[in-house]
Amino acid sequence: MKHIKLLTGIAIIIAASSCTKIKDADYTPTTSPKANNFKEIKVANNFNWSTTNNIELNVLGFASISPISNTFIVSSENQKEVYFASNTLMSESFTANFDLPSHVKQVRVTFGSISKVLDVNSKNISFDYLLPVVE
Amino acid sequence: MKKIAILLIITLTGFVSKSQTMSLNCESGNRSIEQGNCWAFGSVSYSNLEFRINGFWSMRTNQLTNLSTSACWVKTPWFKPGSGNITMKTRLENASGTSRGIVFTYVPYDANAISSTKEGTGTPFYTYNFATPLDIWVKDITVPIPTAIANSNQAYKIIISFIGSGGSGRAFADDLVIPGTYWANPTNNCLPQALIVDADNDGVQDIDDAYPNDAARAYNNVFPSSGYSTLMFEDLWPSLGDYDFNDYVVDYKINRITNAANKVVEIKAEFVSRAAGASRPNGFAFSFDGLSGSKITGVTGNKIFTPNPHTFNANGTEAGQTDAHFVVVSNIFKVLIPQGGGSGGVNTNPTAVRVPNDTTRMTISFNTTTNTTNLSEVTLAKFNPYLIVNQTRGTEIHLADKTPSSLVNSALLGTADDNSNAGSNRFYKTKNNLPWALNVTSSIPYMKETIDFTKGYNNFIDWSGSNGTTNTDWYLNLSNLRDNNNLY
Repeated sequence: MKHIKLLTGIAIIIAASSCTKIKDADYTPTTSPKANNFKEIKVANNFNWSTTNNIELNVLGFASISPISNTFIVSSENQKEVYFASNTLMSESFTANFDLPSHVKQVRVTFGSISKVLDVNSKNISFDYLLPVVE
Repeated sequence: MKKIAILLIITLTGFVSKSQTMSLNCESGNRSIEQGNCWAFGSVSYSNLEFRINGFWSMRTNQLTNLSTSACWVKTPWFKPGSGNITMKTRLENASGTSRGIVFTYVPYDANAISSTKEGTGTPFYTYNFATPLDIWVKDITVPIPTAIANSNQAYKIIISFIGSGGSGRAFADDLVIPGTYWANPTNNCLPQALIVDADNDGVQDIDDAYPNDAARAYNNVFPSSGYSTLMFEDLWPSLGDYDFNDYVVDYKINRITNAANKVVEIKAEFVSRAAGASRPNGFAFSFDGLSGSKITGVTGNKIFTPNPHTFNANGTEAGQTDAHFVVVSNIFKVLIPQGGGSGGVNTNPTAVRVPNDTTRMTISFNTTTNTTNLSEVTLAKFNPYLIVNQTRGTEIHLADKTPSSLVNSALLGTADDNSNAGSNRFYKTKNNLPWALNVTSSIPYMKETIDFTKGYNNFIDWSGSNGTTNTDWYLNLSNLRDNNNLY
């Protein structure tokens, strides 16, 4: 019983001193406090302060029976803003490079009557001309 | 990998173009590919089951329990029929049932048809009846092209309908070959190919051509995609400023005009000087990283005042540069004239007289015969605008991590509060990675004099603190995003 009391006392002392150490230490919080002005902002080395993303759209050509060319357009979903336009052979694979405001998460690709809405989840997205079979 | 993928599509596509014939062998294994070439299917799929007829894939119908020709069918694209025979292989999946057959119908093009497909009234012209008792062996079918449509030079479709009564069972079909010339346009709702209206004959139809009567120009490629972007500078580099980012505020839009070959013909650049909350006569210029001056044939519209610190090449680009550099305004105080004479802030103090914005419209002409330029060489990502401070040519202020020009005074890099390190391509950032300039892809209000930028845009700190991953709409004119009391 005496041993138990002694061990309990030691444990309390250790615990108390540990708490004191944590309290007194030069403690660094895991997240920086929020900046109050521009000078206090901290960002990563590779942050470039851009409000746009440069998007690479990899277009997979389609072997059309006869050579078909048309205007390949990347636009906002509602087609009011055009991000890219080029005269393109349907059979040609190519990369469309365009800048997109970072808050835009969808684009519409139009090639004549062919139209698809693409989600922009990364800086590299892809497109092909195939559509679900309509019966 | 991409090359392999396109090769696969080309190799596997079941719709093969041969001289004056159309054929469908199903070997793509994917009806979407055939649909992309304007074939259509009704309750007919592709199958690689053991009853397939030839190769790895054949067509397989639904259960043939209906004598209607609109139950199970395959429809060709528009084509101009030739003469000779349609051939096809077919078989039944089982021998049950009373009757099974295949009906061939031709459909003319009717420009006045109400339907978007412009299909006229169909005419059945041949019926193949499977002999009874039914069996499962492969049949070769030969069907003459009707004389009414053969070599008519008109657009037709052929519908191949699978019919049946009694029992249940499916049919397979394969290796369809039809004499004729493919005449559909997959990019025009699969309607027949038509003459393109192209007034300047540059290969871009007028409906898509921004310059329908100018064969040298076809497309406008503008950034930002609507309206203007706003550039904002602090001009005390390499020392910190007050971060109101209004020492020079300029809106811009850049139209890179391309021709039908997608080569850059011309750049029409518009810069709207809005404010100069500075005390020094700064200048403004830009480049596209890596764009050679040899690609430029002329520069007009820029505003160069004397005295100025620049010399120019014969093509209007700045002399002494590795890349092509374009001076927009050599002295901003000559276009935004401080009121009261001398220097001083312009359009940053709401109680002072407002000076009208000044617009500089530049035209940059490109070599279009040799050493041509692709759109990818003049993107926003390569756009490199900068301030030239106090008429001192070597003192440049760029956006964060943008490369200074050949004419920069490199001795200033990395001094005072600047933490540039050319060896690691780090430029115009403090040790905490703060910039001296901001580029926003929308025209936005700027700060009143001496007010910290974060006091105008409520979510800016959260956006930058997340390294641009959250609050990406911080600059938009949306509810609660701005504090207009602090904005000019």
